[in-house]
Amino acid sequence: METAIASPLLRLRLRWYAVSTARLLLRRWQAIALATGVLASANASAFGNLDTFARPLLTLLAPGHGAAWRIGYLLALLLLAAAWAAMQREQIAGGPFMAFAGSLPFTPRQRRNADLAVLLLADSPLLLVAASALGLTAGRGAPAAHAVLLCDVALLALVAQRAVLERRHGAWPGVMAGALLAGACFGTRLALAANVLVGAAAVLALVLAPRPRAQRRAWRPRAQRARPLALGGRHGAALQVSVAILVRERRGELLAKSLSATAIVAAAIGLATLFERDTRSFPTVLLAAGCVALAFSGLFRGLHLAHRASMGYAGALPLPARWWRPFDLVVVLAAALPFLAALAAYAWAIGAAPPARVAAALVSNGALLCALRTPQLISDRHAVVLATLVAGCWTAATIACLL
Amino acid sequence: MLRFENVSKSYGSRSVLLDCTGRFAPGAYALRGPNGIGKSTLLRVLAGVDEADGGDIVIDGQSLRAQPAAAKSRLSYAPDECPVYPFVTGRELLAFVAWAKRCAIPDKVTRIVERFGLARHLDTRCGAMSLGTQKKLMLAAAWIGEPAVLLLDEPSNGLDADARAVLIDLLAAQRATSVVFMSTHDKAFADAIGAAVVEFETLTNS
Repeated sequence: METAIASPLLRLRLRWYAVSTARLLLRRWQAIALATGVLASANASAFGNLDTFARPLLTLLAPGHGAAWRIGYLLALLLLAAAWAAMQREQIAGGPFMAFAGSLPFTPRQRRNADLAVLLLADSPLLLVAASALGLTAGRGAPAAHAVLLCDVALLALVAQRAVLERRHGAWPGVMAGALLAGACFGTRLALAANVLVGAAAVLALVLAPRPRAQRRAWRPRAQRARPLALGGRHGAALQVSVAILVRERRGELLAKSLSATAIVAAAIGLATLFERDTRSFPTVLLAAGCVALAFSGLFRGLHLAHRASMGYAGALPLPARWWRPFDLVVVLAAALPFLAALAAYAWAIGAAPPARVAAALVSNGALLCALRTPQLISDRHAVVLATLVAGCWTAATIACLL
Repeated sequence: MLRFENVSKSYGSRSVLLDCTGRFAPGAYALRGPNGIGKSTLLRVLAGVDEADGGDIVIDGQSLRAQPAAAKSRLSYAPDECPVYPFVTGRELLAFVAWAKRCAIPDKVTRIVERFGLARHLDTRCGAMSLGTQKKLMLAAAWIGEPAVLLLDEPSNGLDADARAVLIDLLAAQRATSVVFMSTHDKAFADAIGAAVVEFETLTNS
């Protein structure tokens, strides 16, 4: 009887996830396919491509780093995995159907199993990275502790993702303790034992039902002073709408873009340091800025869809068609500007280019971000490819003009 | 104040409105007809939410086709459901409508908000409001911008008794200066406002 009820639940959940994220998943796979093509065209072998995909995890195993670096890197990976799940929370959680299914007699275990199956599907692009890393590690005859550590990363990532999806903040200390232990014991004689221990604890956390939540104290609203109805600023009300879409509805996506941009900036600074801040540094910074603009341009789609969804009401207001365009541009630019400015400031600080060129690069990348709105909206299916082509051409032209 | 002639609307091969014609002076009008006949579609087309395939719509002397912004600044529309951004608060929605109509939120709307008991929900997101509260918010927003034409789709749906009485009071007063054109199955509500009944079929046969 249990299976008879649970199986349709799982089927419906998987179907909902597939339907609600079909285009998004397609775009992720498109990005991976595009990256593969670019790498392959650079004379990289298939093995080399695997190595590139697995690099984020293989870096964790690289010797020459201290325990603090390894723990920090491991936590960053777990945070990225958590952000990945957070930005798909609605799709993974099962949508409005699950609000109804909450009244049906499913056991907590059935729910959690369905949750885990959908989460694994949602993680499929990330699992490619983990599988590549594991395959390469095994193929190169690395110590068993390394393979177990990679499994730990995947398991801890799942625990962290569950903590995010179920809003169980109490799970985070356990995740951090696992990362701390695995990172601190790397390269020591205790490494294998510590990794097995962390892995076993993570498996238990995934399999065992969590403790029921403690009852929360009822929240009593404090008396608020009456506020005027109008919002400040001439266009404050319209700008507020675009801000609200990003900060309230698309918070996970905004966070993911910010994390991606942070990783891009960090990678650019790392490469420039590797180049000993020579003449290659400025082109590296320009390429990174193009990537940041490309990453943030994805926000235009969510903003556009949210505006379109409200046209059943806003369409009756005396507003021009696509009135939201300037406000969306402002909020997306504001979100990307700290990262673009950080790259420009770094280029200026290391003397990679004269201040005028650094400023010109900043302006060019701001303009690129605005220009990417069109390719992001012009086609549902090929947004990633079109936007990447535009960003690539624009960045090449910027490099040609400024060098 | 509200005039439409030969208005047609199809969705694909399905024709919903065919040569609808009507002319309404200030007053209250209750549009009636069976479910699915096209009342909500007509209101959406008159409000400019959906574009008519053919015909002309004039709001307070402004053609909706030729001067959409001018025509829309003279009308208010409250749909049956709440198709607004679920993440904006009630306060933000009112401010947004006032911005769109290039006016301040009038004191009258502040009083309507209070009479509906909406004040304590103004900082709640629309998506988290109950259906009745969403309805009150859409109705309160309809009084922003001195509308000459109010297009209301099932305005009494989901309202509690007190809010219903307030709405009757507001609409009965508004009909002296504006066209209140609403679809409703609530005969007692329409009678209380003093609305003239308009059968949907008469619009297509006139």
